[in-house]
Amino acid sequence: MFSAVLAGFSSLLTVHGLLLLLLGSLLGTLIGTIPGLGGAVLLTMLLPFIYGMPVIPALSLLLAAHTGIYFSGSITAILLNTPGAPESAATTFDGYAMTRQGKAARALGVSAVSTTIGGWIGVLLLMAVIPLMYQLIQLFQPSDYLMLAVLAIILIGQMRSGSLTKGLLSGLFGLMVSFVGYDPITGVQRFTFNLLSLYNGCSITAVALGLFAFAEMFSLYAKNRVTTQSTKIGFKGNAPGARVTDGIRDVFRHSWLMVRSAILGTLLGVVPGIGGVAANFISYGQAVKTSKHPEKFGTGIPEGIIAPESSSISKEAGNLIPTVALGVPGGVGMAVLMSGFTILGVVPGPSMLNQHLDAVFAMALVIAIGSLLSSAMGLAMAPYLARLSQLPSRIIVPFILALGALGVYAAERDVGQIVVMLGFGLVGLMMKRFQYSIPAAMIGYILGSVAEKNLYLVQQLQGWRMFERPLTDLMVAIILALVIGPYVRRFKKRVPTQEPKEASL
Amino acid sequence: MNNHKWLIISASVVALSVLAVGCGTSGKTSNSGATGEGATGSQKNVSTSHTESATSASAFFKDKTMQILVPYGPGGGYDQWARLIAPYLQEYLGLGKVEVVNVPGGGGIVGTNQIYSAKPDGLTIGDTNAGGDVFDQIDNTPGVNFDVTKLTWIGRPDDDPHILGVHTNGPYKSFTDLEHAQKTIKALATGKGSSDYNAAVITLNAFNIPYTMVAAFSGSKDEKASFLSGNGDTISLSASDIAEIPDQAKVILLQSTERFKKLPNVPTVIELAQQAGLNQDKINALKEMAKIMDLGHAFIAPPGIPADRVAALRKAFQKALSDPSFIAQAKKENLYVGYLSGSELTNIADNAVANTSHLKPLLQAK
Repeated sequence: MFSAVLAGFSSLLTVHGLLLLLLGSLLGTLIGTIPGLGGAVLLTMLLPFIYGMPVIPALSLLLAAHTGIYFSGSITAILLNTPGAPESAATTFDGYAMTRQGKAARALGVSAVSTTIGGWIGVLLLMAVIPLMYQLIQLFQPSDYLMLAVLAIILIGQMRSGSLTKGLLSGLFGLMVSFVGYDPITGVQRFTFNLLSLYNGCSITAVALGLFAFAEMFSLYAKNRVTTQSTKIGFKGNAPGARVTDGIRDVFRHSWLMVRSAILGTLLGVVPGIGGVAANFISYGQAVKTSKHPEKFGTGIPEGIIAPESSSISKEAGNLIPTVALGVPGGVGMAVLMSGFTILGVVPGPSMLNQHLDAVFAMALVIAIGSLLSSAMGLAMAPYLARLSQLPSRIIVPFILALGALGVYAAERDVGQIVVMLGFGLVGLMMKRFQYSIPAAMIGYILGSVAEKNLYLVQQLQGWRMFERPLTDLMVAIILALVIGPYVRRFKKRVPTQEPKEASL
Repeated sequence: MNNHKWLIISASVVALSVLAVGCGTSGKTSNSGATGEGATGSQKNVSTSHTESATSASAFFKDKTMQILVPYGPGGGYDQWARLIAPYLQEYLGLGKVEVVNVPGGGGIVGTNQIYSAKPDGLTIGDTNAGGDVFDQIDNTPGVNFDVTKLTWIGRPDDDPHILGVHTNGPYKSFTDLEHAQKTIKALATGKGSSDYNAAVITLNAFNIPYTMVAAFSGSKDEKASFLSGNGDTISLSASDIAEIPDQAKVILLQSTERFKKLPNVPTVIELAQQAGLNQDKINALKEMAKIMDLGHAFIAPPGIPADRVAALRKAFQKALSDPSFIAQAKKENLYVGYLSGSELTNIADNAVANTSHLKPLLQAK
């Protein structure tokens, strides 16, 4: 095994391998700032170039590009409230709030450092389980996945919403949206109104941009008209408390949160379907739940960036486990990476662990170096990029609207999905206005298909015997505690119903 | 002042990167516009001078851009075949560029519709689950806007029969064991309406084996993962999929008309039906099914392409498949090469749609 580690590292650490790694990082970091072009699109564009390359340099190009996307996706999430990739959506909550306080550079610093260190923790965990990964992945049954999905929806449902009920309603709304399109079980079309654009459901890029970016842009523009003055967002530049170095210090002040989130991200990454986009939300949710001051989340505190960002690359490390061990990719990016495997003649599965173990270790190293490179590049640019937030909204709003439309079209090649994005922009605006939870709707949408598919599998394969599984039981218990707990507490204390906070627009 | 300078610089960096993408897109549009004009131009040529048809077809394809539409997402078998063959078609047709475009959705129906309704100039072709398409048409699946008997069939690249497998240490060791199953068996397949699902349903119905289908997987890998963690009694996959897990899965039946050289001891579904003494109607139905399954990962094009261009496409496809470097790369990617000509595929599809009386009663899952 150690010979495989050494073989993997030595074939990566050549001039050719490192140059490709650098190139991949650079491409990922630049392209990742454009919403919709991250994830699968960039990787598919790189695929034709790897024909005829040796295995390890080719994988390092692809994986470095894939890794680079995440930090640059967070840059736009923080500065413009526009997640470059759907994965970065959870970073908008506190990241953009900090930008509005003029602390954009500090937020970028927090993001860069926690992404990198979180990524390293993920890589270390990955390296530790590589020899065992094949056995590890077979431990889970459909009922575990189902309960994990339900748990995630309920956990996130309590985030950023007026009340628990509103949060759960938002989660259910997201679930309903996920049912649009081709039914994976019966094969019929649901809620598609015979529109070909909807046959494949609502595109995840369109929904994420609509709910997060467009809703914010609409309200930013509306505000501009009401106050009839330029809503220049304050920018404090080098003022104390707003610098990149302050952000770096923030991360180390909350290092336990960072370690926890990174480990959680890696574990979630192992679960196909959940690990992709949901990991960052769940990580944010656990930070809120375990915080001493949960009410401050969303107002622009560093913890709200550290939690999702430290899981953003560590989850990719976790994601490699099912991809490599079984050939079941955790997300779209990993699916394209798998086409890369097949082009190179590497068959994911037990045989890969026997024949290409060096490549697996090399990939772990690529994630580690790639996350450092892209964060370093991003960080070097951060003080200058942060000035983007000074642009008045009458310039920034049309720019983001155009960028979003372009990104959705590039990802889907379908004008119908741009309409979907605009529609979700309006829905998001309403949800903000009436204090429904946008993250809950998003997570419901993402996990809808996972929950549906595994509910069916549980019914067909496990039945009531699912309760014989301790892991499932544990999650059912947590779910019940989360849903019933608040009512029981309120009943005991006879606390009057929470007064609704003033709605913000 | 200094502040403003940086503001302008950073804004222009973002603007430039957006412009770069914008240019990429507009470049592509103008490219295909030029292609369109060229198409009408040489169509006229073809109708006026039949004698020079072969040369005009090659003149037509020269330096044009071809699109291979794949009705599934990147990473699957269809995508793999399309990306593998693209550079060879480019070389043998003298094309300027070949793009692979993924059009996933509707279990392949969205993409196949798009191939069917594409401009019939020979510059849009597709790689489709032909067996699934034929079943969709026979079954009148909603959303199907194509007719497989009118499609232009270019060729089949693979010889990779569908199979039924069981757990190596499970209760069933052979198909005969399944025929005598007392309990309802759980049959895994990728998704409802997929060809591996339909093949399993038809076989299990024909032999009167009690079963329930378990099919909600995103693809063959996902299905295989569930099988590997001990779920289900049978698995419906193609031979190359199962070859990766020889220790955990045993192949007990081929959904094909002929035995397969890589699995010489596995009987075909038709042999098993004859052994079991099924009636002639059922044997005929199984034969029809096996033929449809043998269509494999066929390459198709919209109906109405000028005959000389169809001939050129088929010839280039055949040449690509016999190219040693193509075969070497396919072997490396664990793909089973096995050419079948476009005219043979046309016959199979026509016959399949014409003779469905035996097949249809067996197509409904219990």
